[in-house]
Amino acid sequence: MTSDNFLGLTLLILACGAGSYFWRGLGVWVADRVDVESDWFMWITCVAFAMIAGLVSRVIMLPVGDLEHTALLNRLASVAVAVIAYRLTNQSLLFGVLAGALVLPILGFFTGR
Amino acid sequence: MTAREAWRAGFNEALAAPAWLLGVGYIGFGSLAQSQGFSLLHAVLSTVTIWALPGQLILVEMHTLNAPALAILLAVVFSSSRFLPMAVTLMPHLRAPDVPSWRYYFAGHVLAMTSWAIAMRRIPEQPRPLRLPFFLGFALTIWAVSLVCTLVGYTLAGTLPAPLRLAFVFANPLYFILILTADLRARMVVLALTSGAIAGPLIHLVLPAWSVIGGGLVGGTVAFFMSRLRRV
Repeated sequence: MTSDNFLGLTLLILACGAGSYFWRGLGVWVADRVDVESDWFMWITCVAFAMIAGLVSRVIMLPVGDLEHTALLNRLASVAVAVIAYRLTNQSLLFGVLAGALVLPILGFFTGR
Repeated sequence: MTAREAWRAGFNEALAAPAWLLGVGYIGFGSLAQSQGFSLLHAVLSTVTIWALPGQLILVEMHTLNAPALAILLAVVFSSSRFLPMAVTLMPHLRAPDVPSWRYYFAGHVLAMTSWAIAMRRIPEQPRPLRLPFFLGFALTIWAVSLVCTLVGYTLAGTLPAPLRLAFVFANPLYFILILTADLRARMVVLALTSGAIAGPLIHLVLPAWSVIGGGLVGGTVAFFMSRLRRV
């Protein structure tokens, strides 16, 4: 099977959707059978939080794509601005994220990357 | 609060910021899909069925590189494995008596990292019967906004200035940093976030394909044992 024709690509996307749902559905199924007080549940909670923290810190520390061409120091400064703006605005996610995200291209403009 | 009001609360919470922050990511995806020769139908279909931005980016990029369909399928499904621990940890919080189980299997499909992070923070403080309606109101809203944004991005492709695109791409990680660090009461969560933040990039240096799930397994296991040591 190739994905270079319309039907082929449609089937591939449907298969990718089914494959993604496999994990989602399996998670719901396991959740029905797990004791939330158990060590196993504590462990998988740790894995879930660590996974997301790892993904986010990887994007900050070792980005690929558009962010690859920005300086690490600029990215860290943007994170700091986001956190400060978030605290100053009584925990407004929108202001925190906007402030941090806009600072990155502005710093890039002044520092050359 | 009634179930109807809980739906509405989820809807409002999503539109207050998260839907737009994920939405700009989907504008980026839509414009990428257009520039790589995807049809609009395929771009939208992938948001409906895969509903995971990293997996969809892999799909478009590997398709552009003419990778074999089986390789694309494996890469996308592998990247979606993060939904397993997310669903396992979230669903017990959503349980309420007399709710048919298919609703949870549906909730599993609309689950996204954005809704998981919000739900883990907001839901434990809500009464049980309101949790699933709140979650569905939130998750369906960000899904719908992302669908529209896929369409918008596809239409706008090529007209977004580079600095704006940079801000769009960076919005998503900033959002997760703020959500995850806003409320750090549980010691176990602090340990998991810290060790995950260290493990993720380190594993990425050695095995980039394994950085997400590998960082979670290594960082999470270390945090689990550290939290036990502290308890004893």
